[in-house]
Parts: sequence; structure tokens; C-alpha cells
Amino acid sequence: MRSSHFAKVIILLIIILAALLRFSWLDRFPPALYTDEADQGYNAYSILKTGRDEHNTFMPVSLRSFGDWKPPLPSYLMVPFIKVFGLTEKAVRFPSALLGVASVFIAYLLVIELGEGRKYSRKLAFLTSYFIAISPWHIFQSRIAMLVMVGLFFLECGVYFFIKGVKNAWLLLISAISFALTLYSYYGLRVVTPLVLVVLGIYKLKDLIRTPKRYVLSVLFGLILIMPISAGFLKNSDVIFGRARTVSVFFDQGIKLQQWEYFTQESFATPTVIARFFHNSVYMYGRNILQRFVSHFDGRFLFINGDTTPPFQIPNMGILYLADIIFICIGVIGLYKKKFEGRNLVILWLLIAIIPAAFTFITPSSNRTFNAVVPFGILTSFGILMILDNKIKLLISSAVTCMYVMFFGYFLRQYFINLPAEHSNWWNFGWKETAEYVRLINSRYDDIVVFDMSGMPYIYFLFYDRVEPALFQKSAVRTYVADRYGFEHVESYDKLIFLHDQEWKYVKSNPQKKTLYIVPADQAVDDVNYVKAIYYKNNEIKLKLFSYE
Amino acid sequence: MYKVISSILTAFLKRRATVFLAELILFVSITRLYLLGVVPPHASLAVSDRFISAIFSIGSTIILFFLTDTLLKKKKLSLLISWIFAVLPWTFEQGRIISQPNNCVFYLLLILFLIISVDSLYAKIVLVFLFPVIIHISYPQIWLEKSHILPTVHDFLNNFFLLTSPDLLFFKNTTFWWGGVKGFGVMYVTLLPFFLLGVIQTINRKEYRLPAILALLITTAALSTYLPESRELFLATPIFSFMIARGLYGFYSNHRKLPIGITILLIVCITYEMAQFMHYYFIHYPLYIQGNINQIKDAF
Repeated sequence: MRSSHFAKVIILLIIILAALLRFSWLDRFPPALYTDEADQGYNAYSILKTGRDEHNTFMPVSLRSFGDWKPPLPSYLMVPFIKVFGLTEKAVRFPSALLGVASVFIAYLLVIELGEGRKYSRKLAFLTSYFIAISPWHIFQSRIAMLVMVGLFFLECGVYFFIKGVKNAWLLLISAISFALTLYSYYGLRVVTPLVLVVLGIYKLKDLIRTPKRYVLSVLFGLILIMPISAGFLKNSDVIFGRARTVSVFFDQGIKLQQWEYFTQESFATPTVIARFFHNSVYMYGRNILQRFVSHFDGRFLFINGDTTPPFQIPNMGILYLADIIFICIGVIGLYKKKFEGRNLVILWLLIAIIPAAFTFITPSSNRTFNAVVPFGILTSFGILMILDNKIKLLISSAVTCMYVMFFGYFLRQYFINLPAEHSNWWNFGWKETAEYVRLINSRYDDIVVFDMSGMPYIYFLFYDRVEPALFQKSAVRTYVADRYGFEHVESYDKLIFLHDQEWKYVKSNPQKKTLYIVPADQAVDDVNYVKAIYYKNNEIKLKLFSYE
Repeated sequence: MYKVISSILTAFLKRRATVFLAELILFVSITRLYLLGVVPPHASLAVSDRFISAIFSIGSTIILFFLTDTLLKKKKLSLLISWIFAVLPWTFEQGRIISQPNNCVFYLLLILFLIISVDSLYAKIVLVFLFPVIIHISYPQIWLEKSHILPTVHDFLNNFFLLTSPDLLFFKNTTFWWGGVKGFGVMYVTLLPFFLLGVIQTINRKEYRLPAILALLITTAALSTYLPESRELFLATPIFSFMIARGLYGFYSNHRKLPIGITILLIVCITYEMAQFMHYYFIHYPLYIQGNINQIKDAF
């Protein structure tokens, strides 16, 4: 009884710590809303006000967004928070933070189930939830609205309730709902979830064979839940594969160009059959995908530099703590030496988590592989548990604690001080100030021309001006022609015109009267006659505003 | 059909180790000496120096066999280690150019073999002290000789993880940027599962000496401020070969009833990747070198 009370206190403390790390200054760190966050927020606002997204689609099963067809669940989850807090940064990030904290607790429950009554399973569960609570990767993703945190929460729920469902059939129903919701949460999980289900099926094969009827209802229920997205897919394949198509290794021209180069070199010396034997697409793409897969185990990515793709990097930090390397290695060995029940599930989950990212050309990726944070957390904790199984327990635990306090302190500094200073440009800092300034002087101009060279500035004006969704749905001018990256731009709405294929140096020679031009600073380096400059956090100029009255 | 293939494989494996060794020497000699003056195209004529490198590379393969045979008393495993050493992309590449680390590996293996072969304790001690001397003489380009500046902690960690990265080990060896075979890693990617198996088996058997030496070599190599253009990691290639061979050997020993289909598939995959490497080496690699010839200052 006493130990159960103690356990509750410990997990409560861990959850409080997780909440503090996730909710503190949620609107200020990271320093600005990323384009995708603003877009989801505005779509949630639009759904709240009109029941339709920015493209005037009623209750969408996939958000067309910038032509990247975002899974809709994170936006739907924002709706009540936008109702309460208004259309603000905090409201947009709140669901991620909340589910981030919940995910820490689910990880605790999950590890207890995976341990299946082993005497160390509760300790392992505490350690896992603690390490996930202080994980830089988990904290980073919990404080932004980038889909993956929502996805991870439902995936964890799905796995947990599936394992619990062996004893209680109703829990299988909750598991089915959770797994179905993962498909509405994040693209990558449309690959991960089916594979995890296969692994779980094998993991609980005996029970599955013994009582198949218990699973039928849940499977049927799950299938009903995914019917809307399946129907959407039948109408338009982009509903499921929209973003996947434009980021896949098959979309990238690199391999095709390399193949062409090889064939050109061969043409002088080798018969065509032999050239094809050596430079066939199966080998070249297979090797490339494998290379991208294993790149996620590169220590530079995991422990030193992190994800260098904007905006996912914490400066000079990996996605895991440097100390984790020791415990992960020991943890892998320990899982098998101690014959931990869920060992194969943990390892396979880790490998499956990386599969979606391996098929894209931007690797290694911390965002697409985010659900690996749980297996990594379990492995780290198992490693620590293994080394604590020692006569000099006190000494080792003190050393480990000191080490992690040091790394955690370093993380806090990098996240709260250096990230805003060094990467405010990655986070599109400055659009809020721009929108507020433009709102003040709007009446002086007939047109406001925004050079849309990076990101999607229109969404920031919609977001910060709280533009009436019904008005925007009717007045937005769109061509729906995708650019070379697969993105669809807004041409104009109201007084705002977005130029995404013209440069300032050509426009400035013949500017329009009563027009305000908003130009990226790198296009107007030598122009000093601007009326206002917008700065990044490091005092570099982001935008220059030129007025022609 | 399966029976026929199975009987051929069995007959092949039952042959005497000496025949295999002779075949291995023949194979490694051909691969190191064939078109030596032509591939890679040379920055300045250096065939005689390359010939010495090739001889050292052949010698390393042979010594590695005798060394591991003396230590392990398992001829098949020793043959496998030497064979893997001979076919690794990096040993192949370095064995055909003027390469100090390649020569250094030969001397180190030779000394190691002598240490375990001689009975006299004094001789053993003398030989142990010969190690740094030999490194100094045979590998003057080692970073310790060139620079005494140590990298920052961040750079050291970056180097360490570079040297242990799957990219460098299996896909893209950038340690000799203008003159190396960048299309392949230190090892073939198809050997990755066997390498991992070998590491696990070594740790499981509590044979910590070899992983410790490997860790020491990688740490030493990571202290180089010249990385990624630094080839100290080459000294670890015999250990890589050992790990892979142990994994492969253990895999087949523990899976005697492995379906012949899977066995053939594995053999085909490894052979195909080796063929890919040979093809790349003799057809495409010279073309890249010709394009880079102005960047390579010394004969290689």
C-alpha cells in the first residue's frame, strides 16, 4: 500500500516536471510560429467559425493547406483551445504540450505492461517516463504544433491498450480508435501504424489465435473510423500521399542523374546489358534508401548536431543527450540478457519508426522519426537500470545524476537562450511584427505587395489579423498550380498581393503608386530608402518595407 | 536442384585449407596487381611505389591468416578473416596506391605475429617496444607526426562519430577526398548484419580486448585535426575483418539448417556488391580521378 502511494507521488512529480518544461513560455519559445503551425492554427480557426478550412472544404479529412495535404486531427484538436484563448500562439501549441505531458504518463503505463510483472518493471517505467520528460527531442516537439506529438500520443495509446486488451476486450476498442486516429495525425504514421500492428499481432499471436473473435469488433470499428480518409483517398490520392509524393526519394532527381551519369560513362566501354546489370534502379534506390535508414544511427545526428533541417535543430545539440550513448548500448544488450518481455517490440518499434524517413530525401530527420523517442527512452532507462544493478549503486547513481544535471542544464541554455538568438530566421520570426505594422498603416495604400520568396507569408497575415475565414474563403485568389517543391501559393486577397516569381530589383525600377512593398532584406541589400525594417532576434534585418505614396 | 547446389557447396567447403589459402593468395595478388599502373590514373608515374603497396597488401592478407590461425586455431575462420580483409573496398583501394597506412598495417601484423610466435620473453618485450618505432617509420603522415594540436571536445566528438558513422563505414569513404573511392564505404553494406553479429558475439563471449583495441584506434584516429582527410582508421581494418568474419562464421555455424534459398540469397547479395565495387573501381573510378587529377598534389 505504502509503495503504491510512493509510486503515485513519483509519477506525479515526473508529470509536474514534464508539464513545467512543456507549458512554460509556450508562446515565446520557439520564438515564432512556424509556417505550418500558423497554417494549422488558422485552419482550426476557420473550422471553428465556418466548419470549413481555408479552401472552403466542409469538415476536411485532410487539409489541403499549402498543397501539402496535412493530416487534420491536430487542427481539430486546436479548435477548443482557440475558442478559449483566441487565435494565439499559445492556443495553437497547447494541444501538443498537453499531449506531450500525457505521452510521458502513457510511456510509464506502457513500460509496466511490457515488463509483465518483472520486479524491475516499475523502476524501469519511472526511469523511462522521467527520461522522456526531460528528453530534448520530446520537449522540443511538445512545444510546437508539428503534427508528430499528437501522432505519438495516439500511437502510444494504441500500443498500450492493445497489450492491455488481452485481459479486457473493451480496451481493444480504445486501441483501435487510437490507431485509427494516428492515421489522421501524421503522414509517417500511415506507414508506421500498420507495421506496428503487425508486430503487435505477432507479439500477441497466441492470444490472437485463441480468441480471434475478441479482435474482430475492434478491427471492424477501426476500419469504420478510417473510412472517411479512405473515401477521401478514392476521390483524390493526394489526401494520403500529398506530401509523401514531393519529399520521397523517387521525386528527388539525384539518383536519376547519377544513373544517367553512369550510363553516359559506360557507353564507351560496356555493353548495355552489363551497364543495366550494374546501374539498375532497384540497386541504386535500394542502396540509397538503406543509406538514409542507417543515417539515423549516426552519432553526429543523435548526440552532437541534431537535425540540421530547419527548423528542427537546437543549436549545438543532438536530439538525445550525449550521455545516452552509453546507456543505449548497455540497454540493448541488457534487454536481451535480462530477457525483457517486450524486447523485440522495443527494437522493432525503433526500426519501424525510421522507415518513413528512409524513403524521403531529407535525412536524417528528427521530425519523421519522432516516435522513436519512446524506444530510445526505454533503452536509455534499461541501460541505467543495468549499471545500477551493482554493489556501488550509490556512487554510480550519483555520477549518473550529476552527468544528466549537467547535460540538462546545457539543454536549457541552448533551448531558451541560444535557439531564439541563432535560429529566429528558421522560425520565420518577424511576420507578427510585420502584420501588426501593416494593420496600422493599411489605409494609406491601395495595394500591399509581399515578396513571397520563402515560407507562405499570406498565412501570417491571416493569422495575426484574425481575418474572417468566410471572407478569405471567398476573396482569396489561387491558381492551384504547384511550384517545383509541390507547394501551392495564394496570389492575393483583399489589398495583399503575393509575388513568388518576381524579384525586387526588377520591380523597384517601376513601382506602383499608393503601394507598400514588403521585401526580403537579401533582395534589397543596397536599398536604404525603406520606411521600416523588421529584425530577427540577432538584429539582422529580415524585411525592408518600401512605401510609394 | 537444391540437392545439387547443396552437394556442390558441401564439397567446396570440405576442401583443404591450404587449397583455399593458395586460392586466396592468387585472388589477392590478381586484384592488387591487375592494371596497377593504369587504375587509378596516376598523378605522376609511381608504379614501382604502388607495386610495393600491393605487395604489402598481399603480405598483410597472408600474415593475417597465420596470425589468426595461431591465435584461434580455426583454419576456416582464419581463412574467412583474411578473405574479408582482402576484399574490403578500403583495403582494395589502399593496396593499389602509395599508402602509408597500408604499409603500416603490414608491419603491425608482422610484429604481432612475431610476438605470439617467439618464445623468448625478452624478444617479446623488444617487439612490443618496436610498435611505436614501426609506426613512426612506416606511417610518417600519421597525425601525431604532423601536428600536436588537439581538436576541441566538440570536434573530437564530431570526428569520433564520423569514424563510427554508418555512412563512412558502409556507404561513402571520404578519408581521401580527391583520390579515393567515394562511392563505397570501408566495408560492403551487405556485410553490415554480419559485422553487428560479430560485435555482439565478441561482447557475449566477454572477449573485450578486441573491441577495446578497436575503440582505442578509433579514439586515436578521432584526435586527428585533419579529419575527414585522415586515414588512421585504416589500421583498424584487420579488426573489422575479424568482426565480420566472426559474425558470418557464427551465423552459418548456428544456422546449419538454414534454408538453402536464404544461403544462396546471402551469397548472391555479397557477390553482387563485390562485383558492383569491382565494376565501379575499374570503369567509373578512373574517370573521376582524371577529373580530379589537378587536385592531387602527390603521386599516389
